[in-house]
Amino acid sequence: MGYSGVRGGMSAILAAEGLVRRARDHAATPWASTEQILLRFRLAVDRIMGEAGLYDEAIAADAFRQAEGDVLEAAHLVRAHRSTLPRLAVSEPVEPAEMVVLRRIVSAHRTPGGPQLLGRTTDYTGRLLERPDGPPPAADDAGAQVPPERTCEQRHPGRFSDLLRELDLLVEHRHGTAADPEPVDVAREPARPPAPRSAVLASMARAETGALVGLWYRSILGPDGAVHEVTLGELRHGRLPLRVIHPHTGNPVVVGVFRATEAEAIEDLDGADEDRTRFDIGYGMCFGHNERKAIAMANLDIAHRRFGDEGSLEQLLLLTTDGLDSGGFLEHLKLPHYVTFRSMMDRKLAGREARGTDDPNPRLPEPFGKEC
Amino acid sequence: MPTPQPDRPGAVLTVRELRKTFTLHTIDGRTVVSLDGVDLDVAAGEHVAVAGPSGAGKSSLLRCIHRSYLPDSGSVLLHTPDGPVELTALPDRALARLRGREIGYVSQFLTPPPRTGPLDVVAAAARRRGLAPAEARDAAAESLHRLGLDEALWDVDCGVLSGGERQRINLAAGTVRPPRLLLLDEPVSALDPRNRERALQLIASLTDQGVAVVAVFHDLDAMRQLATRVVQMTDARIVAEGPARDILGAVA
Amino acid sequence: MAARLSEPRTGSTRVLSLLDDGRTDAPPGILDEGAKREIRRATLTAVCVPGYQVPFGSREMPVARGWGSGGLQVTLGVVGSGDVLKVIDQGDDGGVNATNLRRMISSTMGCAATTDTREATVVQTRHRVPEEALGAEQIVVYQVPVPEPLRGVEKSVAECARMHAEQDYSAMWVSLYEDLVRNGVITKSTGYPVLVGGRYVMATSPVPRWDVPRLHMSEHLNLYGAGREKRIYAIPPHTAVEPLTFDDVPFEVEHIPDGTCAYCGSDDTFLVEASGGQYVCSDSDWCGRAADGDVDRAAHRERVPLAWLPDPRRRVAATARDTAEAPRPAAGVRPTAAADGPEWALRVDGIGKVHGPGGAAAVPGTGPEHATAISPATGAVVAAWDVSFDVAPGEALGLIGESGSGKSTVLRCVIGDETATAGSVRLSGVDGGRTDVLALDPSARRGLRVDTMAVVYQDPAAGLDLNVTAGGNIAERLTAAGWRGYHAIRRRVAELLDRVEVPLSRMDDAVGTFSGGMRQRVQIAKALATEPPVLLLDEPTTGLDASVAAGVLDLLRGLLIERNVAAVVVSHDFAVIEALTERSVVMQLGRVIESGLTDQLFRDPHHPYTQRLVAAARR
Repeated sequence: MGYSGVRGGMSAILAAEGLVRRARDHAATPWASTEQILLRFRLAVDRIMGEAGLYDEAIAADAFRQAEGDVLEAAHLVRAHRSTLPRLAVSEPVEPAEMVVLRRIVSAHRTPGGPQLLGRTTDYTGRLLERPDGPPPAADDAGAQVPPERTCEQRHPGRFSDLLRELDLLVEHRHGTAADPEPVDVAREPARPPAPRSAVLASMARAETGALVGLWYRSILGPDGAVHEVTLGELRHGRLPLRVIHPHTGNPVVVGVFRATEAEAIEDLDGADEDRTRFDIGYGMCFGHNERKAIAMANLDIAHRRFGDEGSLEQLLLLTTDGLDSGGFLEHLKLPHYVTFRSMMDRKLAGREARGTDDPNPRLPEPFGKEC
Repeated sequence: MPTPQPDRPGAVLTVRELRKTFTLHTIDGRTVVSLDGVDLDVAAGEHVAVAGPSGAGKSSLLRCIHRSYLPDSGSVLLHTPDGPVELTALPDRALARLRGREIGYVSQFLTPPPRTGPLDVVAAAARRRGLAPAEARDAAAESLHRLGLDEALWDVDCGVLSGGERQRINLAAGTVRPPRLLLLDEPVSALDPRNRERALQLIASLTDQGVAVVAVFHDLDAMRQLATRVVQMTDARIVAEGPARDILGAVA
Repeated sequence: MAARLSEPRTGSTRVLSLLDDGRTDAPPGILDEGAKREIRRATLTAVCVPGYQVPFGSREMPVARGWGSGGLQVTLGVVGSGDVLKVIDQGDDGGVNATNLRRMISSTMGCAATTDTREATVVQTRHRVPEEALGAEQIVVYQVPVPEPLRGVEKSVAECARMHAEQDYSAMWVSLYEDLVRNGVITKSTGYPVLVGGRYVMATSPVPRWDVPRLHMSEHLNLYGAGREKRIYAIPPHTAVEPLTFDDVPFEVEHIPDGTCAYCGSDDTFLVEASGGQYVCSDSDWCGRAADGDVDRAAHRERVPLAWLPDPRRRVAATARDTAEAPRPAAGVRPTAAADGPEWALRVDGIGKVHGPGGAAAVPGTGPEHATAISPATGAVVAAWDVSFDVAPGEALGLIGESGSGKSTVLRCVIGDETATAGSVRLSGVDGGRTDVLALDPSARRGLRVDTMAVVYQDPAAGLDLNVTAGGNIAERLTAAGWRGYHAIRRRVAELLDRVEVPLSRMDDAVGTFSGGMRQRVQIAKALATEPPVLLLDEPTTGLDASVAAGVLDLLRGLLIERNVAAVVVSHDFAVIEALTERSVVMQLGRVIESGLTDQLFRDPHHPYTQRLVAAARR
């Protein structure tokens, strides 16, 4: 049936949808429940929530199933869902110090204040493919151990950057918020260069993970890159409370808890106009457990602070890292373009006619002659 | 200092108590006195030749009048139809314009700009003296013609011409559309006898037209031929002044 | 705005309906009501400022960014349950994309759908304007993939925004010029740039050129939604829409010689290729009704842009010979030295530039007498302080000093490439010299550089685009000054290149293929293109071989003599200053240490530093 130009597009669409539904929803295996997806595909769900900019594990899990595991497509489903929802409230600022850490690494210090807490990670596990055709044998004793009750310090460890601050080794930016008093909501205001830091951070928090990592790597290895790799001052994954102002009492109340990944990147300032006696810090935070994204974000944040107004980095961060934007624009190439292509052919032929030759690169006769 | 007064009718230039000392910072800061209180009066149609040994201050006097040297003190008055003008105190821009209109300066060290043709060089000078472009070219052509510069060379780069040819171009530029005051510093030193004679005739005719000339010549013959008056300089001062024959003596 | 809308002209019915912000007749569907209100607000702004791209908080739609998410949002914002909707893609109602969007909108908004253009109140379209006449009751909503018409000539989003704000479209004109030089025709195919309401350059969505004349003084309202780029813009009814082209280069629409539709036989519609080498109408509704005799063919013929069919006799190669005197733009009133005006053309007073903290407080303890430019108080670098000079028409002033003396800093402050810490700059051509141009906004200062104060940089790449032809580089300045005749520009460029002794055979070569000396000549030609009264030369011969530098120097000397321009020449080389200027200012460690007639400074330098510079030049 017709791709275009022929009546009957609707039946073609319905048939195509039918193929998807039959294969996906009625495959000859048990239904993948939301709970199963949440428990077995935790990192994919976290990534969808981050790229969608909506923290709702169940919705993200359902989107994952509907998108047949395509994380970007799932993020699209979640964002389109979000567009249908009214905005009931705006949350109070989140205080990262309140994070109950599930994992915490400080690579810049052997024994930072508080623990190095590995938590749930495969960082130190050999990447050996396992192909069990069913649940592997039950975990051994070490895994079954009940972790000891954690102290308050272990749950809320001090921050390595605070240590540097005490030693007067950090450039202080905390007073410099006058130009950026209220964080930009990039879901409601389009951010374009020049934009405040909050808009750049928000764009990165919603960016496609791969795009952000790719941009970070390009900034280091690419011919136009100005970034050097940083020392990781802090990498955390943990739980944070979310508060909104109660409409009647006017007091902030906790309405939920979400998991987030946080990173601080320590930059060794070396520019001519920079304070070379101190370090500077880049910051990254995103929904769920997504360390690659948080680290890339922190590194790009400090790069943006240092080089943002020199070149293209700010435009790259604001405009090229959103997965829905880049993916959607790419996908649109699949739409019919025969009207535009007809117009292009018209110009090719017109140019050939005007030049009076098929020579692809002719020298046009000097139209005004030498006497001018 | 009393205001200098022109001594005679038709005065063009009045110089009083002119002093110039150089401080050479690149050579231990040593000082050299070039002019030590010089007075000079030149009237229209008068040709004053400055004579004296090397280092007496002859060229310095011309340059201080022209203000390519900035005098330390003293007065240089140029009498123009608009009244007397104190050259030592004139603002730079006004001086640059006044020079272009009223003062011709020809020196043996001057070189016309390279990669420009003689006709263009002389015409540019004529334009500075107020001629329209077409008139300026005519005047330049006439001037070069008078000095015997081969017409085939008129659009050749000055840089490739001989010393004598360049000197004639400078002379043409200094004298085209004759200025009120003409300062000549060895203007014919590189010329062969025939061209030298042409040049001297040109200078003599300018004096006849009423141009006031102050000149330094190496050779006494030229001075005798042209000067209406000679001033003798020694050690940065004028030590004698009078008709050529009195100062220079009779032809040997 | 309210007053204007309270007395609507014909055709603004749909604009008025947008003001009805309290409409609640549509179910929430795929976009919440708050978001729709935002879209309507942005749409109203777009209607008020025709052609201007209004930013909006574009929401994610159930279609991919690029599949009409912007058009969909605009439609959802303006459509009500009483509307009749038509959706087309490539002019066709039956395409899968059109079908999909139609079902999505009509099912969520509860409005009727149609394929008959005459019945539709809202037409959402991709790539076409319907062939049928459109009236005051109709809105056409365009899906826009790339809303920025300048993207092709400028990739920086911030710079594009500046160009729109300042109506600085010369880069666009240069691209049209270059296109004509290379191809003999303008090869821009769809999304042809237009000037809307005489103010904003706008991208036409992309519809084919065939549809562009339909936008001019239209009866209907045109709304453009770019979802991915988060922009809405509009062409309201009765708005002038002019395709960008030179006065002597006709705009051309698509044309298939002897082409007719295989279905309906029309020869005056936009045709697309069909199988078997045949052509069919792209507008399926029109085509079907035309085959049934249900269209007014005569009225349609009046609408279509037959006047813009390609005509080889009016193309540039043919018209070059018969336009002996193409019009130049009316010369602006050039304030020459008015009797009561200042004698200078440029006057700089007390310019200072401090890099680093402290401002004026950093100055004490710096300068030649302290042998440093670094402030003992704040550590700032006092690059220049208390520098004053003026230049008169027909005069050239030299700024001389070694590297780091501050001379180029002063020039950059005068130009506007750097912000001065102190001082003022006046131009007799601006407000009779009463206004300090340093206090003007950046846009006004940039404007001065078009025809009031031109610069020649040491590095030709700073003043030229090396990828553009010599002619195109000069055309940039001319088009910025309002030149709109292609042949007039060509002739002026030829005149200028001839004057700076660049062979005319190189006129259409990219400047990047030129030698250094030749590039510098092109830069000089560009600076002189609009005959600015003030010319600033920053080390114009530095970096060139000695013989090449000498040639450029001669050129400049000739130009300064023949033109009544006021010039400032910055150089470290006394030979350059001596060749070009009558007066000079000598700078050391950011201060003026000596000034005077150039020949006097050269023969009788007083300051030890000047004596050293002269000694170096005589070597």
